[in-house]
Amino acid sequence: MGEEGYKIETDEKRIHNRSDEAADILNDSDYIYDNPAFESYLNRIAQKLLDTYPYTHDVSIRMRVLKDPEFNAFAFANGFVYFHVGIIALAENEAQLASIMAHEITHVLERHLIKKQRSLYNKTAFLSLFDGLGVYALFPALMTVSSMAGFSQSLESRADVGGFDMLKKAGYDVNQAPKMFSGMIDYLKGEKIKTPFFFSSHPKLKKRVKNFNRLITKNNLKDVKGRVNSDEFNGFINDVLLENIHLVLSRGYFSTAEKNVERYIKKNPDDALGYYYRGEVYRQWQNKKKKKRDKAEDFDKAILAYDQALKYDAQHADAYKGKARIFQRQKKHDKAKKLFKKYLALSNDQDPYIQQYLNKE
Amino acid sequence: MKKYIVILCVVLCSGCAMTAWSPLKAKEYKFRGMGIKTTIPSDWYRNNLGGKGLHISKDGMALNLISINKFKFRQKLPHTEKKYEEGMTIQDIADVTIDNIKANKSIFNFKVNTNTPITISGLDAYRFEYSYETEQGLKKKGITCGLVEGKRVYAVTYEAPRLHYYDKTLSDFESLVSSFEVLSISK
Repeated sequence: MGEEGYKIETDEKRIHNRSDEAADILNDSDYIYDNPAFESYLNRIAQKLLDTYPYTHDVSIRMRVLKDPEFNAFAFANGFVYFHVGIIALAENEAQLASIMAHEITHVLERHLIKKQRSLYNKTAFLSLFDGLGVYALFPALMTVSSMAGFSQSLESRADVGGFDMLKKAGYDVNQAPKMFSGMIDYLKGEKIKTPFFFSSHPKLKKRVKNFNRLITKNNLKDVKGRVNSDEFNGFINDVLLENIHLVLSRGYFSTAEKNVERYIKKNPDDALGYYYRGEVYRQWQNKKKKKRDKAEDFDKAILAYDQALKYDAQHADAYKGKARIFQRQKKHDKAKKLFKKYLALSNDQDPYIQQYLNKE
Repeated sequence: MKKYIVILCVVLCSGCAMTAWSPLKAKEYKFRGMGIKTTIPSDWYRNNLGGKGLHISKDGMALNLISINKFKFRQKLPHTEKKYEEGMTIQDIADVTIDNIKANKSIFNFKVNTNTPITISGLDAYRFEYSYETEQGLKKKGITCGLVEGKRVYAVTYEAPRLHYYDKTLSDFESLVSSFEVLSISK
């Protein structure tokens, strides 16, 4: 696959320097998902893929995870590959995670960033690609030195071919890759959110699915079951799902939050936490632009979920608080105050909003 | 005729030119477009290019900034998909405001240090103090106070670098908030 092994060239060195600076900012920030065991697991998957690469190279590939719910993964030329928690929470097994990873690693090893920059006439043209991304004030800066915004169709197709080759040689089930990309399309339809990230673009994802299906057919691998590795993956995914539920709830991606919560409950049917978060999703869920939600129905569902949480853990303080906040909004003050008192007794929290509410007549 | 056209152009152009900053006197102002009144402390300048809302600074926006913004219920917020809604408690409103800042990708290490209910001109309000770092590593602190009146959320925010500037103009912010009122006929 790809080209002969390479030495970093002068103009490429500049991109590497800028990558180092951008990676330093991210690595020193609280955007980093602090889970060394999981990071080490990701690096082991990367190593399995890298072991299949036949050429020498000067880049050290390292995996990191960002606390961000967007469906995104990107690589710097210097070898840092970043997964957003949002995209990991979508994967169902190691093979699916590896398919995204192999695609990004191919971008790095086949030097797609320097090829992209050299192909553009001047810096202005390069930067103009990232206009109009107001809310992504941080990420446009990173986009210029990463794979975040994607590449030309031919380079993306090359990354598909290179990624496919790595997955196949590493023994992974290549049929998992189109499943992962199709799953992303379904999630994006659910939220109706347009982001400028490569993996969040419907047409580009459809192209990935098409490319992988073509490669699977060409290689007669449709009925061949490769390695999926669900067990070790499942050991980590609970924490990732919980982290992502926090993030998507805060961002207001309620449809994704619901899917993540239901997946967590399916994996952990006796864990109060899953039911508590189901309650949080329904308590907070808001109308989308045109679709009206029945808030009373949402509150009923939330109370039912909090009660289920309390069935599995009668000392679950936050479930009492969630229920109390619903009764407060419904102006059922006696019920709300009783539950808030229970919450305060269990949690030792001195929440001043609750204190003030309890002190009101 | 040519002379008159030149004069007309000069007059029109000078009329169009807007200065970035206008000095404000230390007195009570009614900002009818915002539907609020408040007393501006001395030596603050209004930024005329800041878009919606009222933005004032004493030493430059990077060094101290007070912003007053008004949001309709269901209005799109800059960073989160969540919205302010009718029926929300003041704690719910504070939570959405915090989530909106958390979702801002241009800031790092955002932390809410305190979050308490208060009253502003007799109305239930929230107040939270926070800190964060800019991409360049500058440590900043801020306070946001907000209240609901009718179907709108009014928010007053103060931000300044943690060292030196934050304490220097904090009392100006406090006096502005203590005089803050929503006008009865607000648009």
